[in-house]
Amino acid sequence: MERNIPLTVLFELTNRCNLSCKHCYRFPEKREELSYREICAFLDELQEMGTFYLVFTGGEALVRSDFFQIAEYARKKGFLLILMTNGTLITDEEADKIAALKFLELEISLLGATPTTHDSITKVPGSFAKTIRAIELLKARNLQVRTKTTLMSLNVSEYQAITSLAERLEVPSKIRPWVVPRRDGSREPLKYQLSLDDMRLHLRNDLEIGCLLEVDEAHSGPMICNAGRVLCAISPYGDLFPCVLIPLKLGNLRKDSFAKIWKSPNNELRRIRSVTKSDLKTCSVCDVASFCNRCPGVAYMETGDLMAPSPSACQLAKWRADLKAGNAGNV
Amino acid sequence: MNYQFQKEDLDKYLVLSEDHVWRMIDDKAFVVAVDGRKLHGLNKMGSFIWKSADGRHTVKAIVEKICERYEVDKETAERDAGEFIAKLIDKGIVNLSENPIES
Repeated sequence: MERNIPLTVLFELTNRCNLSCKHCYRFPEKREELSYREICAFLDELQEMGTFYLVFTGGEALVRSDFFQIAEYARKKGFLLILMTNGTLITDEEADKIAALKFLELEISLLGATPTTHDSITKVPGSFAKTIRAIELLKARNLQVRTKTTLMSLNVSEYQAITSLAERLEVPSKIRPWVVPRRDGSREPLKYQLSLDDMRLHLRNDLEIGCLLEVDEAHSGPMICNAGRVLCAISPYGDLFPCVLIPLKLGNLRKDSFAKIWKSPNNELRRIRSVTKSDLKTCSVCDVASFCNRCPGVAYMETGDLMAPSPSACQLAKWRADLKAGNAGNV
Repeated sequence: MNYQFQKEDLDKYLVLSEDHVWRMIDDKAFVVAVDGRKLHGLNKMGSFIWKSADGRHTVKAIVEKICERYEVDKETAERDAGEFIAKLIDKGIVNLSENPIES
């Protein structure tokens, strides 16, 4: 970690998606996406830099007609592959290809325990059934599958049912209450963010609270997180970011090599790499800091300041602190 | 399972397992199984052996290179390389092949 080897790179292969989730932070850009040849060239660079884990995502990565060509090239170059997907484009054929490429893990977005809830969020009827089918197809091929749920006002009432569904499907589930502004700055998605009333009404028992009390490993050390050090993100247009949630562009791979951008960091990257939790003026003296799962990227997207308190994290931390103290809010 | 390196293994070709991926960072090899579970960092000599495990070099040839590079006697190099390769075989990171592997 001291040498800032980019062990994990999150590669957004496309901004396009076949769903239109209400809370999505994506927004369409009128720029030309990276071509297959460009992507392969960047993968060659990443191999030289020591990257092991490649996380393919989007938008919806499988919307790219050359997705499996890209994945095959990546596999041949010796990357460990992870795919984040909505699953709706995975049939037997795609599941076979994913298995043949020995994907390390598949993270499938599950936004509700029922078609009504899930499909109302994705705005595509039938998407829930396809997502569940994808999970079953991938599990049948002995692949490591996990569901990922963004917990928000639209699905919080199904929290228990979502975890039960994941158990029935025999997959671990990752549930996070992170709704962030859109990348163009629009705060539209934030209207779906969990409110204190949502939490008081729907999250009461130990199971529900326990999940939200977890602190992500990435946020558990003295540094604010791994972004820009052992982790980074590449956009569909070749922009390099410390993380997919920190939209501070470090450079563009179409103009400069990855090595040049990474090893000759600009001021922003230097700052991100050097900031520790004790540098966060407000957060470092907060009395509910031990309950906080602050993500610098979310803080930045909410406030425009990487170092500022994250309103959503503050709310959640106070709620956790209250629960621990036995002062669970009264409805 | 503890693989016992034998004298006749010196004539076999050292091949990297397809179930592992690796990176050379500052002349040091880092190896991860494709299940992503464990990262192994190899020391300098280990990294040198690793780089030679292309399916075209016998263990004997690798040992000769070690003797040149690290100025050690043949017996020591054979013993150390043999022990190291046996550990890599136990971890499933390398295999020994009777014949060279065409790339």
